[in-house]
Amino acid sequence: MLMDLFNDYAHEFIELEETVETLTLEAEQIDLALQFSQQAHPDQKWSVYLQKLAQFGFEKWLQKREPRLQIHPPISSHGLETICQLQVGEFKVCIIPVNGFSEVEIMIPRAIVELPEFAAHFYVPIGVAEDVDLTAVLGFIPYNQLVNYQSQLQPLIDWTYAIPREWFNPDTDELLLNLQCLAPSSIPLPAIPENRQAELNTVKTQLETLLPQAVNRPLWQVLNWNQAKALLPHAELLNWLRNSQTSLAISELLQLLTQPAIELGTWLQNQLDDVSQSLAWQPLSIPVMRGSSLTVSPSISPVVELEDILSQLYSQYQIQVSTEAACRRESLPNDVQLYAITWLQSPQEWVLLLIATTPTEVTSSPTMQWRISDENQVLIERKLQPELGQTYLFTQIVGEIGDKYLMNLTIDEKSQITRVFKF
Amino acid sequence: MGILSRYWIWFGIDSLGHCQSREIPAAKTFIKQHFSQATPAETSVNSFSEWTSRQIQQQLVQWRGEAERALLANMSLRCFISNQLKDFCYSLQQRFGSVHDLQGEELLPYVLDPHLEEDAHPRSESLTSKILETFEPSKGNLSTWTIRIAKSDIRVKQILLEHGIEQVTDWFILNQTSVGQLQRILSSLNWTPTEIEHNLNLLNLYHQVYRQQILEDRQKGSRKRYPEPSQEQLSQMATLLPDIGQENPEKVLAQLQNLAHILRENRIQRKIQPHQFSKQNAYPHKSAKTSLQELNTSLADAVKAVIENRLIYYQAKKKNPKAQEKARIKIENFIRALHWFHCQGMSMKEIADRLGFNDQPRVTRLLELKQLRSDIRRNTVRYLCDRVTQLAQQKQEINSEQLQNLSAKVEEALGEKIDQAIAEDRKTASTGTAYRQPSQLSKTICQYLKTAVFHIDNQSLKIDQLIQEDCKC
Repeated sequence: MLMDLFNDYAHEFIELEETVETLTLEAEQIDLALQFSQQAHPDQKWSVYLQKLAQFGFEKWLQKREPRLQIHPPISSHGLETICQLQVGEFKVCIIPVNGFSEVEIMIPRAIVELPEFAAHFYVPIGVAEDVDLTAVLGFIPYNQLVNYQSQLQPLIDWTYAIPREWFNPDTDELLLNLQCLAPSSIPLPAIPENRQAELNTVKTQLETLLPQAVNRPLWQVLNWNQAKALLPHAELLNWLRNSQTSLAISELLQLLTQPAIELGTWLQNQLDDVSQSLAWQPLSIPVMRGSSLTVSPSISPVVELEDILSQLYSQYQIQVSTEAACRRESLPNDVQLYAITWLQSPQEWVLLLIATTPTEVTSSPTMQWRISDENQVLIERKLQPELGQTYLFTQIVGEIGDKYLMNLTIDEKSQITRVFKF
Repeated sequence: MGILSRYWIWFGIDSLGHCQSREIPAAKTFIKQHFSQATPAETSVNSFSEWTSRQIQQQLVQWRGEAERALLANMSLRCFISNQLKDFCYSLQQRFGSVHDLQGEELLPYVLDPHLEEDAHPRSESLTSKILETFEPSKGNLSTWTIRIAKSDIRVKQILLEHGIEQVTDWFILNQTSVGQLQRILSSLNWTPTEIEHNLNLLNLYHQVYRQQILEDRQKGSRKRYPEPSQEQLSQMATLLPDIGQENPEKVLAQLQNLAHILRENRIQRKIQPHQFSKQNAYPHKSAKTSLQELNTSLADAVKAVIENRLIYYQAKKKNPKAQEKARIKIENFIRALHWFHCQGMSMKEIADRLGFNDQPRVTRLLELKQLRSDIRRNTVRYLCDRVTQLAQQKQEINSEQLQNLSAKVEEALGEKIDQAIAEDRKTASTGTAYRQPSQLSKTICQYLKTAVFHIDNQSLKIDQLIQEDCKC
């Protein structure tokens, strides 16, 4: 009688080909994974939950089996359903969370095979039986073997590859042996191409229209793979999609990512980078301040104009320009002058002071407004108010090496000038 | 009468974790008195008919709510459940025992109660109580219900998984399948684009609604398995499906079950094939330039490093005193069992008896011999690599093939494989004596255990002190 009852459920019991080494997740690890998932975009909560449990399971496994291997989780996530590039010893490891232990196919994002940004030495599926607090390392495949198989793979509509489980080596001890003893050079990883910015530029207009539609839909329903390949290396764009509250327009973010940047560092070496040269930026020596402000008179020279503004900024806002600073000027339509002054505040911190002035000799000066943004948000948005006697806009930005800022200046509501500055 | 006795014979677990049966005389009298006669409905027309299980259970559940007969009805139902649970464990053994090394005894301590709860409203959180509290006689009989709850019990699922058996319900399989996978499967079955689109939508909605609920449950601390979607969840999905509509949650349920069925069929067809690379055959067994002395020194270093690591791992992050005490006992037992296995060649059965364990699998789990051996083998290779490259004064640039060669050499040197040793051990377990020729690995572990000082709970102990002490299990 019992066997009959049991037979009702017999189809539910799947026998694994090989017994796996199970590891129990601690209550604190489950809580932490839940916390991470709560912070994620609604569509990614489950995936993030599994990713984190898989990562904790893998870390626990290493702690038990080979505690001398150091692990460093990646700093940022790319929303790719896997944890790419976990650093283990000298190797990059890609953790692929799998719901359960008996899956016959391991789903991996196409991007982690095809885009060098996400490539890892070893791809490691981790089974997560979250309902019973267990995880297990299910196997591994090195990058070079996976790439050899690539021609046999057909991408699925959701930009994943379904990899047969048997392609993964189930002998996880061999993974540990490799991590401990192998020279990383024996699994060469592809170099990241240098033309990523140019690639993004080619699909920029398409992305401007399409990306806003992907805020509440999976990307694969909105873009084609070509567009995706250009987009995925740019974490900033994925962050924009996840951060729906941002005031930053997608067109501005794409501008920031694709427009060649003015390299402020070269200015400090008394040089002009290519972009500055092509825009005809003029070097200007930093004026010596004379303490009191002058009334700006017609046909005043740029040096005098700047000197006057700087002394105002000093007296009103305590903005003091370093004597080591480099200064450049660009003439814009409607006789608007754009001044950029930059200096190093500390070995890591840079300052950029931007000033845009309107001509004073004309009876009606042009209207002027600007927005300064970084990759996450609009930092400053200001409009010139001539009725209050304002003749210029100014802003001061402090950033770290590598930071990029977009200035979007509109003159007379028709000319739009965008400049990207990079420290 | 054979079936009726299930209501008065109780199966429980004694203090050593062994399964014991006991007849409950009061329950026997009670059951015989009420159910060995014809059913009340039949007596009036004078034709004898036995009570069906369902009727008995309905009656007993009803009596549980009445003060007069609650106690006896409760005991009888608990006896019945204990019989069913015991049979459940042995039927799992019958089905999976030989291939997956699963024994009913391993499961019994987790499903049976240590005492027969007499109170109709028990306080304990036992599986039996859970089954009884959730049982509704109007929906089915108690035997089915018992299996249904027992198979989803967290400990049962864990033990099955540890033995390589996974439970895959419809709701789990749907949760696990990606939209891309489903699209490929349905296309291969020549479904029309409209049908495919509808089902991709359905799966997507299921993921949204169902996963959200699981995460909310987990947040509240519930470890519920993957239950059937609730009416509310089905309605929510139905509303969002343009061609179904809110009034048709049953239709959503049927469609989901149908999808799960298709996915299961597909899965059976795609059974995992053996791994394509067999490392042993992948590389010819070339001689690696290592001397026997280098190898033995590396092996000794590896044994020391691996056993020390294991002791640190067991003690790590045990915050409360209870967990620390548990870890201390585990470590002491681990060292003792290692000594008995490797130095004295004892069988698992003998070790289990000495440690007071009721089953051999517990010793296997404690020792994790296979992993321990792998870790030692791997670290021996590592130390060898270090030595070889140091001697050659060259930068460590070991490629995959060299690594495989060294690994094969170490494998050969370690001698007897653990799998073989355990299999041998099982064969001789019935006779109780097992003499194994000590392998190089056993000798080295033994040598280490003889001289090592173990730091356990701020105490420094040597092996003699540990095996002389009485076992505290």
